[in-house]
Amino acid sequence: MEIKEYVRPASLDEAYSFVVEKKGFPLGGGAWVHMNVRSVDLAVDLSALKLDYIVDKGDAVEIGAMATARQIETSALLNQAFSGAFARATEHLVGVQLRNLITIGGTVAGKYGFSDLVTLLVALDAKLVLYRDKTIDIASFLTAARETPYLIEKIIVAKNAAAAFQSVRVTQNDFSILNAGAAFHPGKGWQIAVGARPAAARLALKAAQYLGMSRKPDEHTAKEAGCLASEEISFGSDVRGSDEYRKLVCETLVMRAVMEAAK
Amino acid sequence: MNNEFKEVKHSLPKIDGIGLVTGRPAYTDDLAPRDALVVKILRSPHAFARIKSIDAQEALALPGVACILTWKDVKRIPYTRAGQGHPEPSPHDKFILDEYVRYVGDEVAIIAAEDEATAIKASNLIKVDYEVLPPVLDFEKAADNPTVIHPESEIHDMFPIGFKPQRNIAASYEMEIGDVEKELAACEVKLEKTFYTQSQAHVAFEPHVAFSYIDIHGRLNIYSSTQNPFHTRRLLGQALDMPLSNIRIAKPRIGGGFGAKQHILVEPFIALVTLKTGRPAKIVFTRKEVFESSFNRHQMRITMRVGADKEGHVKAIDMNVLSNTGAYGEHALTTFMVGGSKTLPLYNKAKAVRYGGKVVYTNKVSAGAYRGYGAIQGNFALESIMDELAHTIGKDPVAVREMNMIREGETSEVFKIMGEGSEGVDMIIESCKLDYCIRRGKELIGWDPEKLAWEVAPGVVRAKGMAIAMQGSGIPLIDMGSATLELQDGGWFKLRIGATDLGTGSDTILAQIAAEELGVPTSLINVYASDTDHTPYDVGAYASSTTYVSGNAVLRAAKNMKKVMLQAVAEKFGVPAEDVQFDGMLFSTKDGKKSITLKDFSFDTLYHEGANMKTLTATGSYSGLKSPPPYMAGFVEIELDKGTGKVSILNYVAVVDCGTPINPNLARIQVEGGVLQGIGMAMWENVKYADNGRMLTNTLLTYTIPSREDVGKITVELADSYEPSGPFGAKSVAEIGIDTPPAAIANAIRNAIGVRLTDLPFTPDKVLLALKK
Amino acid sequence: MTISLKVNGKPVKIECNPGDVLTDVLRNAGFVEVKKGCGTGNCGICTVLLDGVPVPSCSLIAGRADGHEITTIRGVEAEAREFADFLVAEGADQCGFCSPGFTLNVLAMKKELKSPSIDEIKHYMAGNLCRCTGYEGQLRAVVKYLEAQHE
Repeated sequence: MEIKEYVRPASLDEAYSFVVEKKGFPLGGGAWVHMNVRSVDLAVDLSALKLDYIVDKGDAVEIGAMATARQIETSALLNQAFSGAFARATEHLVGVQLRNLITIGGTVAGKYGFSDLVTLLVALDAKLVLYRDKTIDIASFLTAARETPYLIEKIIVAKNAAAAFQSVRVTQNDFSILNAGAAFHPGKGWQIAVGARPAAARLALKAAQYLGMSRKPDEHTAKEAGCLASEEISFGSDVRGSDEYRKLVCETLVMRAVMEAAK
Repeated sequence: MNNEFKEVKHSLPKIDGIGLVTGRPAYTDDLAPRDALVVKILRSPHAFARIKSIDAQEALALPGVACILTWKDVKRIPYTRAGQGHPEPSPHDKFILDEYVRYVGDEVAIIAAEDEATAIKASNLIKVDYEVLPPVLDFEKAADNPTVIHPESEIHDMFPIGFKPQRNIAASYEMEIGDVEKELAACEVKLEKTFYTQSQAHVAFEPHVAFSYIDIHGRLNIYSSTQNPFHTRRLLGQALDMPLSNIRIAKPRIGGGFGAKQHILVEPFIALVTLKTGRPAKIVFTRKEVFESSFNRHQMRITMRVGADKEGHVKAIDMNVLSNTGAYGEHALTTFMVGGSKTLPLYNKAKAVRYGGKVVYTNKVSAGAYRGYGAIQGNFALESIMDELAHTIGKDPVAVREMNMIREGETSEVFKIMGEGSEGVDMIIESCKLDYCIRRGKELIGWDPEKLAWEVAPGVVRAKGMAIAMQGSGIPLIDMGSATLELQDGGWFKLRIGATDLGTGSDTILAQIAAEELGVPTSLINVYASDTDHTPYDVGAYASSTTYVSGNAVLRAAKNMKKVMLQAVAEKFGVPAEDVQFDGMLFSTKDGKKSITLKDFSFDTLYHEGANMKTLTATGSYSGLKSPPPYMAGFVEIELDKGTGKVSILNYVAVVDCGTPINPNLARIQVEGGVLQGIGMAMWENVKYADNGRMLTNTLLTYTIPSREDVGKITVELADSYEPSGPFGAKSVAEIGIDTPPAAIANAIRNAIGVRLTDLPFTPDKVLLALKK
Repeated sequence: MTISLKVNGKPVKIECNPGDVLTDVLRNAGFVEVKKGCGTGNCGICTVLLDGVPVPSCSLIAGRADGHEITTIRGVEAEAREFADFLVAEGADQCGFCSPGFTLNVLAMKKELKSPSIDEIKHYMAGNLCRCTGYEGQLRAVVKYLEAQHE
């Protein structure tokens, strides 16, 4: 990757001025971009901003944009609050070494189809806080085309959701062929997300609607939700699997995610 | 196993182990001269094209560019890149640079510059005008396709191999024992199935790398990550039209081979640059180049027909094979033949056997040598259909093997008929512990023919499967190795061997063999290996030849060395040679009156004996009269999730007869590593292409090799066995581990869901879609 | 850009593009003990410690390393030698290309995990690929090494 100018701001305001005002390229871990991006005029290294926190805010957990996949995987706070779903959604990502570099901010900003974490965040209705800009739910963020530059400061996840994550992959540290996240939000209902389609996660709205306010659906109901999800979500073919397979396995993964979240 | 040996059959640590683990500079790129020109290759974006013109003017003008070579700058000499003995059984169908490019990634131009960035920049400035031609991408449509991949007039075979390039056929072969059609017709049970095996990538973690320089004598020196230094020297000399006396090939430590480096590949590029500029040059392949522009395993289609009586006695076997050799024909005929020669003898009681087919060119990456070398593909087909036979007659699959398989003291007509591209060598099997391997394997996996599949949770099934295999130990009358021992002052020995340690530990085990025969500790043997200037000839590391062929050469050298030393001591003592003995430390007359330590004697020979001073040295060479097969029984336990199609490998048991294991730890690890590589081929690995011939699986993100979380446990045991023709009873162990997993796993899946998968690999999508059908 | 960092405890200044990956930057600066296996972060062969934390140096751009401490296998010589004895005793050194990165990650694991189970060891080390050994010999070495630490 050819970088013409490299800066490492010490404050969020300084970072904002580089990224939003000067249209610089924000760098999380840089793990994917160094392969995908040829050349950058102004690279903005966010690693000095102390955004690598995972903190309990009572009714929500706040995850700083520079928190690494490994921090998320091993966070007692997150795993307790979400029954290990965050570990399930990060533990397969290549290896501990790469997870020590990959950041949640970089992952979300990249809108990567392969990301397990993104799928779980969509199911959990996570909110992205864009510095000196708005707060947006991740599902909308993924589908919105964004013209102006932004700086992700943190991700907020409400704690009261019961969540689960399921995936299937070729080898244990390959990307998912398909993944699914299910979360029941008290007072709101279910949120079902299907990702690695191979495209990025989308909500299965009909499946969620079908489950309604039932906190503990039975297996038959969960299976039906899986069927609905497989019909409403669109799938593609790539090196890891065919659209036909993804559609078939979607039923299983959604059903299992719902049953697990229902426990 | 009680051990009557002092050095052999002991798990000594590898002599290079500590240095490697602690990061001492050892590999080719670690040793490259700092001022070496960096060489990059401009590669074809088309699967098949003719180069109409190349304009490198702008590239040459870039500061820091030392030279650029295209096909017009290189002498046009057809050669083969296959690391094989002379005359090579592979067609000479490659030019260093050619007017045609035959796969996406084929070489177009060689660029040398002061640094990598400049070389890459320069290669992007080269303007190439291609005439794009319709490629042949489907190997089942390659033969007699209107597109002819090799229209050149100068290419040729070295002896008849069925080479018909106008029909896109690189090689073809057929043999028959008895009358297969007649036998089959008379059989009570007849089975026919077609199997597909995919192309697999080696993924040796050190990529292909080499550097070259001109030494003080004006000779070309090359350090290369190669499995065959001597073949490389010969093939390079031929391709460059240079006398072999002007070329040196040296192999330092290398980061894995598995057959990837049983070729000459990058050496001609750097050689040309060094010869043109006079400067050192180096090339380091990127991982993408290794995937796209080196070699991989031959993809095959195998149609099996088997006939048996209703008790399960196999009467007839017919194997018809179509093999895809990609753009060039390296190892085409020989991998094709090994598909039969190292599988069919397992069932030596069949009355009629036929093996035949052809190897075709396609506009894909060239297939070449890869551990197993045809046997893994053949084994998948043969051991799958044997299990199907068991199902058909309602018998335990193990019982069907035991009824039909080869045993110690027996032979197979296949040995005589099928060799390395031509006829083979007859052989009586003097060591075969397959019966023990099966019995012990059954114990270790818990084989119960009444319970080969059972449900553990709704929609989750566990099952077991098995397969047997054989391989070879070198190529008889074709593979040759030599070793030279030399006594040094201080009472230690130089052991110079051409044999090629790929990290396998052959330097160490060959030292153990020398030490055992000499009667000294292995620590007194210094090993110098794999340098065409400084070590005697050896074919290199392939065909599982090092322990058996090079080991026997070392054994001969050591026997000769003992004779030489005893003779010299006898002269010194003034007694006949028969009166002198050596116990590993002390030479003495049998009556005990005279003695001298090895250490003192070594000083005497070099400093104190006046006119009788001499260097004590001995050489041994060996080429095998046969290729005694190692054998193996593989047993697997899987868990299959019917909801996702995912198959988990819980436990793989391998019981191996490799004769005496010279170093039990190293032998065991060869099998553990081989088994996992075989499981990778069975389960997950797949070289895939886009419709235009571009490789899709060209990084480790898209080509998935097994991680340590992908298999529960691999358990390896070595049978108590002794091969009389091998050094201290040893055969070989390098390849045997890889052969059984595809069939064993296919058989387990068949037991689990009643569906026989015949198309590798068994990824979740394949399993689930097969279930749904 | 000139990056200033510490490598194995010694201050080092290297002229490079901040977007160059650290494996290349380190190797060109003479630290040839850092190997490149895949270039995509998958194999762990290029593992170095960044302020004590294992990262794949092929996925770390040089600019990120500026002002930080890098440890290669040569920077933990005594510890590496101790583990190497266990690895070599199993014959699991084999081609050795993955061994330095593997060793560094084992040392990192020893610091991070207390008495890991077999599954936990396999999981922590999953990003260290090996094509030679089949992983069993490496596991034997790690288990014996960790057991010896407790004695």
